[in-house]
Amino acid sequence: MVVTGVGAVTPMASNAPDTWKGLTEGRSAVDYTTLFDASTFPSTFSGQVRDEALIDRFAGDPVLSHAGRNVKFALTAADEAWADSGIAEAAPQPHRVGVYLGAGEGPPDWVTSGRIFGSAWTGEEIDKEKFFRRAVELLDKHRELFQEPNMPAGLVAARFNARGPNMSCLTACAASSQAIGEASMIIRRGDADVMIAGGAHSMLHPFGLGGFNLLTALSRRNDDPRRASRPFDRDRDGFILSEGAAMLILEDLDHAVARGAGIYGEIAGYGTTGDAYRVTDMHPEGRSARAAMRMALADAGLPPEKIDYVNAHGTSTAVNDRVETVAIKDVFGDYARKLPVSSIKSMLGHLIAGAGAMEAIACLLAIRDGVIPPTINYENPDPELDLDYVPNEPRSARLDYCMSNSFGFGGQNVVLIIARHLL
Amino acid sequence: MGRRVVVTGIGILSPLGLSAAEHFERLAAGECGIAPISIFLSPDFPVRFAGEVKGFKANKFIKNRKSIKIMARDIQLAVAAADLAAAAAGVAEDTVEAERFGVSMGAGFIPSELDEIGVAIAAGLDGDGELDTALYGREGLASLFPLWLLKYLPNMLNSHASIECTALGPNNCITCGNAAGLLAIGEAARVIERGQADLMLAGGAESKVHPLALARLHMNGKLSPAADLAERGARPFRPDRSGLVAAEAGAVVLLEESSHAEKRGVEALARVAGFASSCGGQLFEELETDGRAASDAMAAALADAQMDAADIDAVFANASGLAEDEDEAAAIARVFGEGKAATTSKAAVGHSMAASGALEFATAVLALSRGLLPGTFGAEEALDGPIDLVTAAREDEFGAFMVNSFSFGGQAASVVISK
Repeated sequence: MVVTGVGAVTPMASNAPDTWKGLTEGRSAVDYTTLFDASTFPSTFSGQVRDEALIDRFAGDPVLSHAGRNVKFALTAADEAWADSGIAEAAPQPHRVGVYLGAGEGPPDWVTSGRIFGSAWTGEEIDKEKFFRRAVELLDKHRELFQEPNMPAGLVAARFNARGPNMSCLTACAASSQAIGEASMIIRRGDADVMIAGGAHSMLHPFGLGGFNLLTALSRRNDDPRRASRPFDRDRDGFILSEGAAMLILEDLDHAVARGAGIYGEIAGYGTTGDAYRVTDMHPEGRSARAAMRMALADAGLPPEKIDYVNAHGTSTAVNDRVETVAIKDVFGDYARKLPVSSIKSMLGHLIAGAGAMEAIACLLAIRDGVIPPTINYENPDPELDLDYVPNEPRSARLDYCMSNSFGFGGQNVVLIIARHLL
Repeated sequence: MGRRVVVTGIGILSPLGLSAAEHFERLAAGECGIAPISIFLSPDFPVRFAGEVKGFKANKFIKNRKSIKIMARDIQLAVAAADLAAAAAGVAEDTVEAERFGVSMGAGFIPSELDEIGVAIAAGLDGDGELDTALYGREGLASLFPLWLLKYLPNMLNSHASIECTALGPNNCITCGNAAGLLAIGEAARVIERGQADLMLAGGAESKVHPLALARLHMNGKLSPAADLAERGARPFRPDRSGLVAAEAGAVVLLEESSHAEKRGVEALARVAGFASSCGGQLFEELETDGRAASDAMAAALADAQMDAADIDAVFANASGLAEDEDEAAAIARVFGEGKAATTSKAAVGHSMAASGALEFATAVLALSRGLLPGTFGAEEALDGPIDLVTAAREDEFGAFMVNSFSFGGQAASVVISK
């Protein structure tokens, strides 16, 4: 099945073309967090979506004004992808259009939460009854309902009258890659002709940022945010928490061709495995990451040497970048030396549930434009990591097949093979 | 496709018991698992009842004991149920190929235990009782243990289950609100059908017995205020219904490719014959699913199973005591004609949200394999209306059931099981 529309809201820009432009120019979208005062947190910077006009656009809507940033990103990106695909003109049958998102929960109302907890705190514990009463009194009931992780999928379906299969998953960093893979399977099976697939997330709040800092997962390069995300570099020290959304319109090939749709490329293969190792760490040899890559290649019917580019998970953590390198070498053997591998997280940071879909879009646009986005901030090679990470500068290349890796916290590994559409 | 999917193991932790057998036997005997809620003790509190899993001690079920303290209750229920299902199906680490054995779990948003996060937030409040995030960053974070976030992530249900059962295959976490558990099972069946796995642990777990979760439900008008919920149950479909009863549960089944099960010499309890999902496609003020998504999903599941309306002996309904139960009844009538038998365990065990569809599915499989259709607790006489609400348990050689599960976000899921 093919991709006929893309849309994105990222820290780089509130649309896919400008995000892509920034990626091909090697720009960093990381800066100090202003959504709340994070100056005392171990990490004071993030990939924040700075487009307040986007948020304000929903202010007048009686329903959506209650929804969190994640929902607004999701709908904006979905709007862009839908328009980009031109599918509305074909008036598809609603039951043949579905939605599959890797969508995170909405951000909590931390201001009101503070007041509720404050009322209920006895000095030693929370008085549960007082907590309940204050919560009922103070929280916005619509806003609370909108925080549920399935709301973006329901709202996207409502927006486009998509009455077909509807699913939402939340396998952490792999979620929106998984959504794309599963959505492609739904089309392959014949249960839908069109799937809106992608993801959205915003964990940029005190509890999300705090939670990741407690895990020591985030970079603490507070004196130089733009150079903090440095996948595969010797001095990498963690990922950058970012927010955003990315959406793709997946379509059955015949359906797309019949309406003369523009085609970005194909989802040619999908692999999904679980580390079953530890919730805190990847398996040191990436046994299940390797298996997911092999599964995706097998699903696409491709030998490893056909892959022209790997869009890495590349979070800039000590462990991921090492294990991912080991796994790539295992799967690709000697060919790994010739294989360009880059991480756009070096520029965008980590969109968590939204990351995989943005990376799939990057592969599609790389194929279309013949440009591989770089891994920026690559200054000091790590002696253990000796692949070609496309350091710092974009590179021209004809790409037919890309591999996109997404390895989630908790061990879910998802790999997509994204291909040029050959007529 | 050629690959058929069967159920070879079931694990249940519900308000009616700590095993599949106990849950089903007590349900069929007409018992009720709804009781006065343990976390609120004041008389006349707005929430007085819940369906709690009583006496659940994670360390009696979970082998990986060291991890229990970093598992929220929802996760503990999921892992324990997964263990029970795998054991019931005779699956042990050395008897199946780990890479062909995956996990698909339905989960919801898991709120932090209040005392845990309370210490941290309290340290971040300024003189006016407002959360000062800079103060929280400096003083509050230090009160939380390093793995705090991992204790509450929804994908940790399937992560921990995969570690516990050594399942390295396809792994997903479905977060589709109340429909999550049934959707997780449907999707797991698809994974096996398309050849990416031979076995899948599939189901869901959730605990809504938490002050924040209950506050959200209460504010949105979902909870029943009735005083006799423990005696008469939640009252799905009935004219005197007044809302749902919040509950918790863990329900996981082992799905297996049928020839794989034969080779292992294990009994197939039921076949997953059909599955479909749909969405409301219309934004109502309260975002409730409209009847159309329900009948669309049911009709599509029936078609997927290549069955006729007459082939389905009964529908295990989504209905939980909310006003929209009548939309489901109307939808059932649209698909099956009037008078189709319908039952739901929610009358007796309440609504366990992300677990509910999986629990209903597991109950339906047990009903099919034992030839015993449980009644809907508290339903004393037949309803006036388009469905035949099962009041007392019925014995028969049933051929097929349908299971429904709908979310507050508009998602509708339907699965057909057959002998």
